[in-house]
Amino acid sequence: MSTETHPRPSAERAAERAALAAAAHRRGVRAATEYAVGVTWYVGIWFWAIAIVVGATILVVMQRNGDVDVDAVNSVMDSARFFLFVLGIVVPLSMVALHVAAGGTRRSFTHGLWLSGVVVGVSYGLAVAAVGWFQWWLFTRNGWSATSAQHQLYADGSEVGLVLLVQSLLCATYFLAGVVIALGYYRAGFWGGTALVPVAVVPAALAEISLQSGWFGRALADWVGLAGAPVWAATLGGLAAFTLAALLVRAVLRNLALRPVEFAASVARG
Amino acid sequence: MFDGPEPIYLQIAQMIRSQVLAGETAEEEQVMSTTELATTFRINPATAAKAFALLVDEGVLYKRRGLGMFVAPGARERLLASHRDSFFAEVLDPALGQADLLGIPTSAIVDHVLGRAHPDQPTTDTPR
Amino acid sequence: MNARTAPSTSAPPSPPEPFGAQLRDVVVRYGSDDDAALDGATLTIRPGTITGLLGRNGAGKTTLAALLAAFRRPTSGTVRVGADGELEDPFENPWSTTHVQLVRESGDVWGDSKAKDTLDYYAALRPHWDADLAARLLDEFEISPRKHPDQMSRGKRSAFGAAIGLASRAPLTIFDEVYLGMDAPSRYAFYDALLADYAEHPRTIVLSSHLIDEVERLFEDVVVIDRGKVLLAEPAEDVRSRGVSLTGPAELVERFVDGREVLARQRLGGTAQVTLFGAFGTDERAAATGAGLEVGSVPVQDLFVHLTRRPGSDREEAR
Repeated sequence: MSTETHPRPSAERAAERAALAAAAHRRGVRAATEYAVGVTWYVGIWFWAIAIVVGATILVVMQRNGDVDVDAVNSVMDSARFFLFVLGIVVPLSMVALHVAAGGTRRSFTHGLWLSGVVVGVSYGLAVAAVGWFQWWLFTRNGWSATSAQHQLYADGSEVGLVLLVQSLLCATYFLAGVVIALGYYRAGFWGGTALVPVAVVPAALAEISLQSGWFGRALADWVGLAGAPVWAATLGGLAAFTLAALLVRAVLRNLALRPVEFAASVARG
Repeated sequence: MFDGPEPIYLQIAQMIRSQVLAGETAEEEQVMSTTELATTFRINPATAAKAFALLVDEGVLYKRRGLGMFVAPGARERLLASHRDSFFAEVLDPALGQADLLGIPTSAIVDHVLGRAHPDQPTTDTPR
Repeated sequence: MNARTAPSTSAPPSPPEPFGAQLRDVVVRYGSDDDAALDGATLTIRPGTITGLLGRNGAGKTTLAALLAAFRRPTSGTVRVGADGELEDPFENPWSTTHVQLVRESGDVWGDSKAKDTLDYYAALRPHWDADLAARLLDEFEISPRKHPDQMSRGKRSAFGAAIGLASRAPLTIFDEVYLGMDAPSRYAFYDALLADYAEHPRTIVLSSHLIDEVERLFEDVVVIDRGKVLLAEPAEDVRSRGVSLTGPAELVERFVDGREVLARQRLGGTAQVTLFGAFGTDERAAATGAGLEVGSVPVQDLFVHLTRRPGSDREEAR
């Protein structure tokens, strides 16, 4: 259809063009990923600094009172995914028009966000696992109980691999869920965007249930009767949640029409 | 610059012709490039190129490949000749037509022409 | 023509030929309201030209630009962009989008981080990005790369967008009312930079504007749109010859008006100047010149005002 009446380009020219288009796509994916991950960690440094200070303060206070509860400290670390949920809303929204204006496609932006989800998820997962392990080490050294009262897939920070797995999947899924909400509003306006929010929450809920995490994931898992699921099934559920979020990101970006400048400006100024 | 009523490319061509006629640009001397013309006068380079094409057709300029535009040998002489040719049709006739309109008799014009100081060298500066 | 060597990873890709564009029966509707932003627009933008895209506010210039840069798709009709003989749908087509740059009014930039961050993103994506040119232009416009665009004046922000547009060296570069808020020296600096870089790196430039007097000589082609329709798309010379101005003795001038539409009439003593809409044939021109009238072309601005005049509403806007 698209070649209509135009002369058929030579095979050589076609190959050259395909190579250039592929290179353009790669540049788009890379630039989007580098920027999204870069900003997420640039701001993330502050998140971690504050989280560690808050966690340490809680610990000191509890120790003074002689009642050290590991879950109070855990909840600070468990908030990493909510922080990423917020950044998922903010960061890609500030990028989408610029990405297209710089000659990127929605497709390369989508792929860049998927990749960002993976990189951000795993890197934050690593950070949670590292802090979790240190916390476990500190607790056992001081003779405090490091075992959470909340049932999770892992009992304490010593199970580094399991913490990494669970937290990576959660962080990545929450990040992309945030993207879906923000771009949903960008695409469909206030009412359409609001209607999309429950849909965007589905992958996050699915990840919480599968990975039996935190203060409501396990409860939900209990409620749907998945609480006893083995690690491999939980992982599959987490991967399914991430995939669902990724597909929703693709759906909201697909054929997206860019808004006029005034809209972008109003979003940027809040 | 180039605020006249004619298309800009004609005005540019006229400017270059005048420069050659006045001897400001010597034969075999390089003239401005299209880019220089375009940026100097804030005009589209294609407009400048169109002026050059016209002047090449007229034999005023010629192109040296990779170097640019130069004033053609004999360009000034050719311009003088063509201006002489068109002098009567383009300069004198409209003036005479105007004279008719204003009711100036031909004899008055002839008297004026005959009574006019006639410099031998048309290019020498006449003291005021 | 240009030396296309086998794809190598080291050398930057040679810039492709200038891109042209073609719109056929294009309709764009925003939402469900009945007023179409573009209403059956058909036009061709010739590769390698500087084309002026003229229209009043809300005429559809911005929508047309958004289509060429694949910011959106038309509601109906076809949009084609590409080198001569290779026009194709630009939407989600990386070959096309990587070669088309649209600079929107006040630019697509990160307002609350350093200008350099924005430049870096464009540099990462644009295959022919010239960082030196970007630095030079920022210098010329007196913009510090460390400054946040949100803290810049409107003019500086526009100039920043203009610099991005030029430095991207895209085979089709569209500036949509890019000079808004720029003071006259900055605007002229932009025109000069545009001409110099265009002459050195031929490409297609579309300049949407309503400051026509200032830019009309930059144009090789002119497109005039009004209320979503293309009124004309042709070489600037042809546009100018759509009208004629006559200067001379008043009675004589009036004799040549001869029932034509008069766009403007000025009189100073016995001398009159009229601006007429409608081309003069060679015979008429010769007759007028022969009669001692000065025959001239008409500024694009005057024709534009005439073509896009709306009965009744103009008085308010002229206020």
